[in-house]
Amino acid sequence: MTPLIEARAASKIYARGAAGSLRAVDEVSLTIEAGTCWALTGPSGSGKSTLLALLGALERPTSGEIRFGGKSLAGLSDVGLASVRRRTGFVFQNFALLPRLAVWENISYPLVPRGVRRNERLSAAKAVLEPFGLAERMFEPTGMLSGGEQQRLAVARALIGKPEVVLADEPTNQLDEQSAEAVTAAFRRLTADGGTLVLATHDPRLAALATHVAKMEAGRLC
Amino acid sequence: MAWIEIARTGVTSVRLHPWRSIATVLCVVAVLVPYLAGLAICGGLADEAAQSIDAGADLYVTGRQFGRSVPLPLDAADKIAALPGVTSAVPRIVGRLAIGEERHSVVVLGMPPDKLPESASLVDGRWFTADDSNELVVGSALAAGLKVKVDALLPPFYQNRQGERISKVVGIFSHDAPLWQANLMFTSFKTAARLFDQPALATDILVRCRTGSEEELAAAFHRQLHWTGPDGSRLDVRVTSRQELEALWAAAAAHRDGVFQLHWMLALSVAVLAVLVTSAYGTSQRRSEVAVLKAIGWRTDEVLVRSGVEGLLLGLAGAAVSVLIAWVWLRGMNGYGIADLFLPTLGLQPQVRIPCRLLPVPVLIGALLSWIVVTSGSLYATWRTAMTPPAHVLRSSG
Repeated sequence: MTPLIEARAASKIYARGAAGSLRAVDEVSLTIEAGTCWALTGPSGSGKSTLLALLGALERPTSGEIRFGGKSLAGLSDVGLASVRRRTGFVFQNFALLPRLAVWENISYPLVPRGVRRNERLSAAKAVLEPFGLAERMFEPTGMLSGGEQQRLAVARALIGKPEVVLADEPTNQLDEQSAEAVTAAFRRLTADGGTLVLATHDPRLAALATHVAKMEAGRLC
Repeated sequence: MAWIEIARTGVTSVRLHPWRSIATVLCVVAVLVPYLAGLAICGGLADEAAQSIDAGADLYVTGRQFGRSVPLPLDAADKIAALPGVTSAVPRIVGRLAIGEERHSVVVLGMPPDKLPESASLVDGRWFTADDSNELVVGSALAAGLKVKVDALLPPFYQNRQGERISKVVGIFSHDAPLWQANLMFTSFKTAARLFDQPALATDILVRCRTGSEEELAAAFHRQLHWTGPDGSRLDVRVTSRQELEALWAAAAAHRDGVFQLHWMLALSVAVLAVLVTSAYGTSQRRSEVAVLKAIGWRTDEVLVRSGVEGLLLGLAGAAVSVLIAWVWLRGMNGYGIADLFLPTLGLQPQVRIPCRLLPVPVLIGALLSWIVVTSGSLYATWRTAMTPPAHVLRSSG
């Protein structure tokens, strides 16, 4: 069976001017089958976020190859990359929300290029916000939400398009007990429904969902 | 359907950044308002010129010496009237004076009262008599400038070989008359002849003729009308037809409009830079937005459509506000400041109604240009960002 995502000796090197270069990801090879749950662990700066960005087609590897659904991302056009990203839900560590947009608009933007009408987007937003306790605030500007609420919103946005895989970068690091549990429950439902999950996390509850754990250090898988 | 939904997010984008939107619209307005107002004045002037030429004579005959127009002997009118095909030949005197304490520049038109232009209608008093009784009919704007009313005396109106005379204002004609009458006063031919101390001369003769006979008559005038002075000097005639007058006006208008548009193009190029700077005001926000959209699965063309719709709306808003302000400027403020560019003799605050005609084509061109200005400020930057990996943009824009 073709793996859903595959990294083949993928490296990402950032130039740092006079300070030389930084190998954020160093020849990482990884095969993620559909329906599995991966937890990427390791200290801060070990390259987890960069690896997630590479796997989610948000960044190009300096060398090596990332394959999604059996196809190399290197050969994909803008349309092809957008298609991969539509099959992926990404939770950014810094949320990457549009603060002036209303909550429901923010999370329903992935549905816009799919031609989903406003009313349907509104319904979808309400349904996905409900488990996170944010449905009542869906018409407020996103910037009015607390950090924890915005983090839940970022998770909700990743889930709204019913993606094949969710790549989440520290999705519970600013959440209280109750909210973290809501996120964990949402991810549990995703995996139970056959979805694929790749998490960069220090949270033992989330790590407990993982069928595979990969530890990173200095850009390499240990 | 997807494109409609994407376009709607462009509308949302306008209200997402109100200050950026307002600053962009203001840049557009700053450039577009003078452009629209200027073109409207050009259009109004063209209309009035066309009306005046239409209402004027078929042929204008003046003397010609050294290649320039000079007055004609008064008997030319009789000679012209006697030619077959001519239906009327009216001599007139057109001269310029400076009168009053403020030395108002005044054009005096002396001609028979029954031959005056139809557009000049009396608002007070009566028309002058045909004799040399020193009666004047003054345009309302000029009367306001000179602070004179009917029965006012202008002392002394002239001093020359003919003596020193006081003239009386017997009427005031409408301010709605065409612009060229703004600084005008009418009087009888004889009074004008005494005023300028040229008793046997007319500055030109207005000829009306049978339709289609203009060319033939012009040739006949050139053949038959010439005078030799006692000193042997020769005076020929110059004939200007209505068509030639229209062509002369068109050439002058094209020159003036061209100079105006050149200045506007310079202003436009400055505005493009201003909009670029204005857009850069939100560069970091814009880059983040684009990166987020790309990260959640938007294609580059979809992001560009969103940005284009935003630019279109801001351009249209700028054009609509500009039309409104230009209209208020021309109608409410009578072209304060800008009319002076086209009609320097009227000053910064014209006392006569400034003609204007705002046509749909300049408005549409203005809207298109404003869209180009706005879009040029954002589309390229949006495209550049959209072509960069989203994670890279999000990292670099914090």
